[in-house]
Amino acid sequence: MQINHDPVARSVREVYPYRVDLENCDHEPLRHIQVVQAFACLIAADAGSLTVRYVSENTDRYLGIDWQDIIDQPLSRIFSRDLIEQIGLGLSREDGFESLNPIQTFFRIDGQQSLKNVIVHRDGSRILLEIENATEDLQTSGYQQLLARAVARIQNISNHDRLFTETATIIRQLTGYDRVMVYRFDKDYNGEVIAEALADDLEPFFGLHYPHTDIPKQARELYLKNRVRLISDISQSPSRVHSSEAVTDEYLDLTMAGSRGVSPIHLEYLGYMGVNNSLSVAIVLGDRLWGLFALHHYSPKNVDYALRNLLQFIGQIFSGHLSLQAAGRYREQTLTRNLVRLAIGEHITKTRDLFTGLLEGKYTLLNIFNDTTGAVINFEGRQETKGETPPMEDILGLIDWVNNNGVDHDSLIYSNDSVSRDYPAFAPHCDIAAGVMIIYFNPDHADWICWFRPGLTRKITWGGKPEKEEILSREGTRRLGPRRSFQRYVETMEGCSAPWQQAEIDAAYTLRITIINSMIQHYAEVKQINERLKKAYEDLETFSYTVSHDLRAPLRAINGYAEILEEEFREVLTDDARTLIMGIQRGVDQMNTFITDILELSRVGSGGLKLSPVDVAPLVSEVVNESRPVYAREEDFAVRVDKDLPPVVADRRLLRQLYTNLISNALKYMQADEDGSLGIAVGYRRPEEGFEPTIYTVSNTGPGIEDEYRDTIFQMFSRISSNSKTEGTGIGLAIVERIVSRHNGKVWVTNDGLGVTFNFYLDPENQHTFDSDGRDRVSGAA
Amino acid sequence: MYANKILLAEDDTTDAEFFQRALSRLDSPPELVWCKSGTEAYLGLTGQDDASALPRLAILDIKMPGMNGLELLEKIKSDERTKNLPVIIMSSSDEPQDIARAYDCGANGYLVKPNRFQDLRDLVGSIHTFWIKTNRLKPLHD
Repeated sequence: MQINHDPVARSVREVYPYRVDLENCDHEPLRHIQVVQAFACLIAADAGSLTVRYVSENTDRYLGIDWQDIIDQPLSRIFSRDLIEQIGLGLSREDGFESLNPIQTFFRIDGQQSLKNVIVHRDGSRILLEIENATEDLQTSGYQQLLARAVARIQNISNHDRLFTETATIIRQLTGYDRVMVYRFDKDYNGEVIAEALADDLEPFFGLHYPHTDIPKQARELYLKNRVRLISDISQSPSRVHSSEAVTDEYLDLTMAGSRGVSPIHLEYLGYMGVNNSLSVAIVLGDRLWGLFALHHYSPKNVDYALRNLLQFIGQIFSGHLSLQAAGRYREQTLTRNLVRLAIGEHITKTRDLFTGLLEGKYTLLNIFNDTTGAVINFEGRQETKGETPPMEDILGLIDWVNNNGVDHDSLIYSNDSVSRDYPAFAPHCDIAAGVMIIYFNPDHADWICWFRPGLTRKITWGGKPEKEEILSREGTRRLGPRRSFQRYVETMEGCSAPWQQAEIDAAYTLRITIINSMIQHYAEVKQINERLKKAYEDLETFSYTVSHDLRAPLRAINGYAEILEEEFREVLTDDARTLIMGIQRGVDQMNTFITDILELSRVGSGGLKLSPVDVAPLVSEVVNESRPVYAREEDFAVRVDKDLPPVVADRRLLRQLYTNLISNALKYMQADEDGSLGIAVGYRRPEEGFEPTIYTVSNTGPGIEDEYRDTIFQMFSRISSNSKTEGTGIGLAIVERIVSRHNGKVWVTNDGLGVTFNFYLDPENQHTFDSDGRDRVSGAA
Repeated sequence: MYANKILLAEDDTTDAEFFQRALSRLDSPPELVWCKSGTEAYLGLTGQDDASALPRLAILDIKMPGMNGLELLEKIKSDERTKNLPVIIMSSSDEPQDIARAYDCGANGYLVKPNRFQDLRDLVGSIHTFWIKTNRLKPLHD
């Protein structure tokens, strides 16, 4: 664009030391602008000699003295003794002039006494003095009252949503500005008007966005140093600052000067907006410029230094209040996240499974962050998803891309709120997965968790098209012009998710640590248990070997010698001696039985089960035929075996052992009942319904077993009666119990059938291949 | 061809004594060569070139210090000079895997040491009848 008449440029060019054009706009050195605004005059002196080295042209207006009469003069020639004393005081104080400003002094101008504010700053070896008009009717005490009331009102706002609007209202009441905005920066320093208080006849700016170029970096840096910025009456020409010939440095640094001149671009910008007076107060959180109170007035307005001071203080109060609230919210969110994280960790430890722990508890992966659509876990080659996710192959493609391009070699975390911008293949999944967060368990990036965040269609209403213009002047030089257009401009942004906050990234990182700790704990436990089990089995094998070999050898010796003694010395042995030898042999026999039983018990526990369908009836008949002679007695007794005992899936050897022990037990303990009948019965109870397992029974005549012994009889070495005539090791039923439980079954005793009945069933899961007729449904074999 | 001898490798003095006693009750009992360890037995079997000095039968206990019965068995069966010597493993273990291992190593028989002396006497009788008397008529080798 070309403009013929460029008044702003012309008026400033004379006093503005730089040409700002497209080549150097980013470095526009605002603090070196050697002009001051018309609302004050400026004098800079050496802090040591108090000799004036810089002075603005407009001193006659504020001091009644021409600037030429001031340059290179000592301050004592210009100011009263009182004021010089105050300056001396400020120079000697640690906090400098902060508590002294403004120093109110009368100056005689055109024969009139005029009250001025003298504001002093020390800047290295110089002191800056600004002299501006003071408002007489506003006394200090009045400000203090105003301030106290404003602060109290702001601090009483507990509702975060109302904090901004109410503060804007309070500031407007206090200052009388036409418009008071709360202007907040995003992470890129684009601004948004988030609250506003304004005169009735003005168009609201609320909700409008402004590009970061509107308040450039160097301007933002100045706000951190000097928190209040007044641009008073842009229609008045600024005054040039002259330097003494004695100074060698080129420019006076005006950072601390409240009346520092304004960038011509910014003046132009305000002019286009129709603003005459602008007052901005920085809101700083931590070390970062959070936002501004931006005050606009459309006609000239006098703003006393005391009022600016007060606004700075309100800005600080507001920042404090804001950071308190932010800290509160942060704390609350962190607390919630920590609770979720701990719950998940606990669940992993408890369930001993990473996937169950992360996906199926009361809290899952999706509770860690707000707005997540879904998540995927990839661990040891297995993937599980939760919620809504893109197809797995696309996710794996993304991970591949991230691993190769997006994430640092050994970084453990990756987050992106617009992944399709960097990895266009993911663009079709923008609606559910515009943002991703990935944590890696290990630096090799093999195992990971990935969260997805939905895409937001964000409409941003800019307060005008967010581009600066290039202005070509008549002289043919190009310079940068501010935005002229303040027409609202709506931009739609797609493919972005809500941003991943630092707190969320931290939370993901801590979750990773929690998961790893839980897994390490889990693996350590399992490993320890495994090692213990292995050791136990090894011990058991050694034990069996010891029992079978080493214990039996001395028994053989005792028995053998006793037999040889009995045989070879038969003639000389008395009957008594022979009875004693038989006693020895009986003891040895008992010991041998013991050893056999213990061996059997240890065998039950070790080795795998060889499961197959076993025809029970023939097996039982075999066992009965073997056992019957062992327990022969004088009385007749009946042994009844049900011929249609259904087959069962079991380890044949163990099932045989099971029946041997139960039948031996029954034969051993059977007693004649009241009718005089004596015997045992081997049978079964039909399943009651459906696939209930068949219950097999071994019953014998005799008195029932008392309730208190029902469970203990299956324990090792337990015999109900210690003085029983019958012999036994007390291991037989323990073996039964062990065999049954190795088959995931159950054994119990009831006082029914012939008198006492032992009942058992074996693993119901294994029996399903058989129907109630005992036919193998898979193979058709019985 | 072979001497009327039985070699017994047994570290347990009592078991050896019982075996000797059981053997002595037979009619015309063979001579018992008792070795207290596997190594001793191996040296005894291989230390001489005269094949006719070999026993008719070797009975080995499994559990012995140093070279155990199964290791000795493998050495016997892999040595040209002794591979035709019938070997019976005699052990107090009736574990199926022990029995299987013995046959895998080339045992000609596996016997569980009886608990009763009477049973041992019967067993030694049977061994004598089968391995000594029977095999005398039909030489094993070739």
